[in-house]
Amino acid sequence: MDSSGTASDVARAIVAALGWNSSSDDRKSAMSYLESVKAGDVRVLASTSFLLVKKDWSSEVRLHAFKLLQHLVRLRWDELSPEERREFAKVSIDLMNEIANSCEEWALKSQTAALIAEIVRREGLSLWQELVPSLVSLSSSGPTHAEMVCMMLRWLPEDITVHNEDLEGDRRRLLLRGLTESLPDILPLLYTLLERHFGAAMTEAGRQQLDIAKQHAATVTATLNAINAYAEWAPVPYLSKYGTIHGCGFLLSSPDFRLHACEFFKLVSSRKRPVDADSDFDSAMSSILVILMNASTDFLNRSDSGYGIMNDSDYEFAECICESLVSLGSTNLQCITGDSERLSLYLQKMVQYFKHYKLELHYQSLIFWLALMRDLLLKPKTSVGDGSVDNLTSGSGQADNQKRKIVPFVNDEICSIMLDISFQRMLKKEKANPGNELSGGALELWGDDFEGKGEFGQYRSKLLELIRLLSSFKPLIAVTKVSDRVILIIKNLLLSPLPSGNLAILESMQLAVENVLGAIFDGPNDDDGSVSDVQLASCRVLEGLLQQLLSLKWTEPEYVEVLGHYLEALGPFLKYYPDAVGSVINKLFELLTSLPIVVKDPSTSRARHARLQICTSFIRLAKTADSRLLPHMKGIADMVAYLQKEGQLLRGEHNIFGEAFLIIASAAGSQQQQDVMTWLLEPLSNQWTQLEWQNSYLSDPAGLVKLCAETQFMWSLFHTVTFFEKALKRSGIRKGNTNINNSTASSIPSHPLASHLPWMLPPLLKLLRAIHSLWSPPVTQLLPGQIKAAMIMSDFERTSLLGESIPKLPKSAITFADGFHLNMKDGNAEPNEIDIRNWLKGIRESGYNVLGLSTTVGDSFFRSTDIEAIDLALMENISSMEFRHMRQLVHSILIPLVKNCPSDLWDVWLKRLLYPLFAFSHQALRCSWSGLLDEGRAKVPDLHGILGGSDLKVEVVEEKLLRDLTREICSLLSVLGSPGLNCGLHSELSGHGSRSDVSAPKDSDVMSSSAVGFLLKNKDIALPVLHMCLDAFRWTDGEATIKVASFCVTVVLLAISTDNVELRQFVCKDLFSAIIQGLALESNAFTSADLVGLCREIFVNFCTKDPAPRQILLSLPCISHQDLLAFEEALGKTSSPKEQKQLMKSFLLVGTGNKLKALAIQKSVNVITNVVARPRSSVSVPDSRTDDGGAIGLAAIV
Amino acid sequence: MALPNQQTVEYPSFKLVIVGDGGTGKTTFVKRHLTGEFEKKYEPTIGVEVHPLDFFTNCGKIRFYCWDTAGQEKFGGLRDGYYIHGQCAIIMFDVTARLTYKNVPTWHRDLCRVCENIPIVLCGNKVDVKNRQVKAKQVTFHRKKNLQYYEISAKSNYNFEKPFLYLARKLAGDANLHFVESPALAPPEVQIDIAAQQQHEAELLQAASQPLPDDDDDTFE
Repeated sequence: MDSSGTASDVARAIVAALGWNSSSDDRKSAMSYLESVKAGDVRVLASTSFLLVKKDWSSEVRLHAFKLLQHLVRLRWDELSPEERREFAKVSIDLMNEIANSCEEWALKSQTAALIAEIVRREGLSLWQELVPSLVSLSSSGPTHAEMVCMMLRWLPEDITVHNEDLEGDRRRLLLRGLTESLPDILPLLYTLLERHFGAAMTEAGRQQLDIAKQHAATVTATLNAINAYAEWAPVPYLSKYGTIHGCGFLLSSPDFRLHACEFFKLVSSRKRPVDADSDFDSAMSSILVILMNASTDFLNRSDSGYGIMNDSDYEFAECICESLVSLGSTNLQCITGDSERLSLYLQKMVQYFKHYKLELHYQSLIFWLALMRDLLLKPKTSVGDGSVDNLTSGSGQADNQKRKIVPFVNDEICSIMLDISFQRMLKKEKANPGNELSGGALELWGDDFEGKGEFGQYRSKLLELIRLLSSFKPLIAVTKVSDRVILIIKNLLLSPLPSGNLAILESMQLAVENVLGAIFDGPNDDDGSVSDVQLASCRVLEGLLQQLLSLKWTEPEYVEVLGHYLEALGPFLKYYPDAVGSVINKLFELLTSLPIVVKDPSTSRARHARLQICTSFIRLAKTADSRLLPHMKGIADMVAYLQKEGQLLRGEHNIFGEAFLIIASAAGSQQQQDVMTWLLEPLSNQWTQLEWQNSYLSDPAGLVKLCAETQFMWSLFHTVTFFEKALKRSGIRKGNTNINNSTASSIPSHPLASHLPWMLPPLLKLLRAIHSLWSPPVTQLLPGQIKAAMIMSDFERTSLLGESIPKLPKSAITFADGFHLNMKDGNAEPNEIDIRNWLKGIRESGYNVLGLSTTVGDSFFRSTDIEAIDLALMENISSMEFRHMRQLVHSILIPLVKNCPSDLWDVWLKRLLYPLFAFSHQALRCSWSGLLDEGRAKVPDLHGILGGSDLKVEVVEEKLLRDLTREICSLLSVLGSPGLNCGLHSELSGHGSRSDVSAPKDSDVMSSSAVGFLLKNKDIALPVLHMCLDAFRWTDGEATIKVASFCVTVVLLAISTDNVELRQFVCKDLFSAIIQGLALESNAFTSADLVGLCREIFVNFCTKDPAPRQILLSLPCISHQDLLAFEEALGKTSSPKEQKQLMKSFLLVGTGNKLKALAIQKSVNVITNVVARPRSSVSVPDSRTDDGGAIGLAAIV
Repeated sequence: MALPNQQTVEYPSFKLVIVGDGGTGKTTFVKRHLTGEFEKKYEPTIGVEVHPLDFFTNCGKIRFYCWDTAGQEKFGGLRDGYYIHGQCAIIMFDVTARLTYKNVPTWHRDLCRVCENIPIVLCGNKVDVKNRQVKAKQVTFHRKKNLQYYEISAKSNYNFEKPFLYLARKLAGDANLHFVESPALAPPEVQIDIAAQQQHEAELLQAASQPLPDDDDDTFE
């Protein structure tokens, strides 16, 4: 055996393989040579590698040789005899000594240590026990020796406690026990090394022996790293007993090591108290608390004395300390509450962090206070009224005991400080006015560049929650503080008019006001109408604020808007202070009329915005002040009528008032509401039902083109539809709406809008039909360019499709857009493309919603609406529809329609509407998905005519549109398959065996009481639906699969409970194999449990009745007949569906050679050294490409 | 840290190692900086490719030599050899493939056993893809190991400078360091993207400032 010859060959191969400029062929052949050595004679591998780790070779070669040795130990260790293994271990230990002697680079020291750790891990306890004494003595040979011992002591526990996927349970437990048993040796050793080398480093540094000092310092760092590998699992009392806590605590005062040392505390602080813990655990935790508190005191003192001298590292350290204190408080509160002095100090520290100017520190502490306050106020339920300590002290049990101890310490002063700081921090850095002491002062405010903490909105809602909690805890303090601050800001504003920074401060406080008032007045007491003392006192405080707000004479739109927000925020207070309602309403009208109505130039859009805002305030007040607005309704209505008559109110604004009336009226009962409804709707119906406009605008496309030129009229149609939509929403049965008569729960003629549907729907259907027809190619061709352009998706829509989680364009944006055009009374301005686009979009959205909501009215919709007209309006041009529109149609109309349609009318409604929908959408989706999966591009109709923009973006948008439609259609399927629409079927879901005993109900009964049964009876609908199911398992969309799977459950149940042969064949053959193929896609991982469940259901119920399930399983590549028999036998032994599912899962996994990614990826193959031959990962292909599923041997029978 | 046949540069340069499972988009990410071309076809990296990427900071120019290593084991097997002398690293996973996230600890461990205490950024790539399998809140590994985490998307250029900026700050020991101009060869889409994003955010902000109190938007759901 010529080891040295092999060694130089291997070395050359390593260099060639690693060389970044080697040719691809050279590299490949080098690699295959290395693989052959790795897989070749184990002894040659060992001796060659031991040669290559020597100093004569380059670092790269040596490193790789270490990896080869690690590979040998991990995967081929058993091929060596016990003697050889001992020898191997001995050589390795010697190597450690050698490497330490010659001051090697860090990576080689580390890999040597990793090799020893690997050997221990393979060889087990006996070697380990033998090794410990020699490690101890090796560590005293010098700083580098000690460093390497520490490295080994770090890698070993990591590989046992974290990276242990390759160890079976027993081995893992044995190793862990062995390691735990040697903690009394390891921990003292680590302490000694810490002490020795820290001391030496200091001494040498003092003597200017910097090189030696550095070596000792490296050892200290390695020791701390090793300690941290035990911090998460070694028994906490040990960490105290063997000095670890003490040692690390000491190093907190050393600038060089404090971060590493603090890491230890961060890890230990969040250790949970074991159930069997004794006082040793608590005293260890207490000592940690003391250490962290002292470090905090040092930092905070220095910081308070002037932050000029602090640097980034100081703050990083302080963050770590603060974070540790926070975890101690959340996981180990018992160590803090035990001693009241300590508790008080701890809370003081947390307040100091909370008010610290550094955002990071404040943020850490915010998390703590939020959790604490939540906990304190959650249970026992505090009545908002007095918010006193007594309420919190009535509980029992340990948790309550702790609360009892904490509550007195969260005193007025602490709460005041936290409120002050929270108020100041409600402002973003970007909006702050540096000159103003009210805008955060010296605080480092939240800025857009503040990383890793999410959005400002998320942060602000944390602050607001804290404000709310503090307000219900100390209501008077909160209300006084918030009111004082707002008044101060306003006074400040009045003194120095127009600095926009100041307005931003005022704006930022509005949410605070809303939350404080919400906490005080929306408490549990308000139902019985009684008013608590605190609420009375709060009212007195707020009177001042109210007067201040009412007296403001602002007319600038920005100011008016903010003022409007404040007035509406007072809603909950007005509920308890009805005398002021009148003056608030007057003020709002005063603000509204102060803003100009005729707006000709877009630069004054601010005023339009502000007007809408003021109108909206009425809605909000109506909601929050509840019935208090009722006495004023007539006054408001008169005023609105007057303004309208004078031309001082836009149509959109009027609609908002209408909505407010509906809310106010609902407080007075359903009759009142219905009267108001009729009063509001009558003027609309007069115009809407006239035939003249319908005939001239809706009879043909040219008419619609004409309509698009009649700006004012077209928007007035829009307002009619949206108002009707609002009315439907406001009158729907909602949870918690006690004012609506209970009898409305079933479909009944007394739905407030039932009598209005007959005049609303027919023109609406004509309008929708006309709009849909625009997309039909022969019509589109003849349209003027402007209309064609308006039909194309807006930039905004496309951008929002590209973004991550962008909400839909709010309706308000449309209302907003039209307000502008309505004002062009002279009609000179050509309605432009944007306007038409908005109108089309708005009518579609509201029109669909009106139809969908109408189905909730019940029988009077289904029995008296003309299905012919609906069919024409919705389905006539379905094949020309864009994906986004079809999605909307399904979501807004068809899903509610299917849910609400009485089963005796399925034959009329579902048959008519679902056939064209499914037939077309299946074709369209199939085509588009094959485009995406085969060519990487989903072709969807929506993007026709879009020019410019990069291909990439278009691709992302296309894919998004495709997925959205797919999911929506699949949602419709899952609604159709839902238990509510399939009576009796789902109750049968159970293990096999039970069903065959029960006499099967007649097929016709089952079919007719089930929506899915109904679909299947109608072949022309059934065909596209069932094909879609099969296809959906291949489309790489997990969400769609979840929905389809739930539909398939019903299909399978139907097949079980009927004797339909065709259905059974479909289930046994097509569906069964489609599901198994679906499991080959990683995208189906989330639903894999459902899919396996379906497989089980099918196999268990049909394997005796139909040959297909067996054949399919037998066609899996790694299955023999014997395997199948064994599987069936195992299946028969249990009646638990859960166990059967488990069996099915393992069978499928084995049968496909682990190729079912949806299942396989739950079991991660984690290999430790990177030189093993097994693949590290089977995942490589992006999700939407298809080489995913492929051949699992099913092709033969499918 | 220049390579044998590469011109050395006057300004500071650092060896950056990019690791992560195959198919997570390491090569695409690096190439994004060079040519701005989004690679549609997937071609596994063989061995290693080294790309010098220059950035302009307020403290002058710096260069990252990005060692783009093979994530696929069948081409690798020598990975650790590339890590040697690495000064900073990016660990990449694919938010649409959970296994790639599950393997992050292994990549981290292997790196940490060759490179002593280097700054590391964890990147979740492909956040543009709608069928996400690893949600942002499920990503917790970085907190435990004090890594910086960024969600990125090579496709839409989302956050693509962030990892480099973080590493540059750590290496320079200056938390206020910032890039003063876009990388030399940044693709033109970057600007468009940012503009679109800003416009979009502005529109959103406007929309948000005028909320209708319609909390029951989807009454019939």
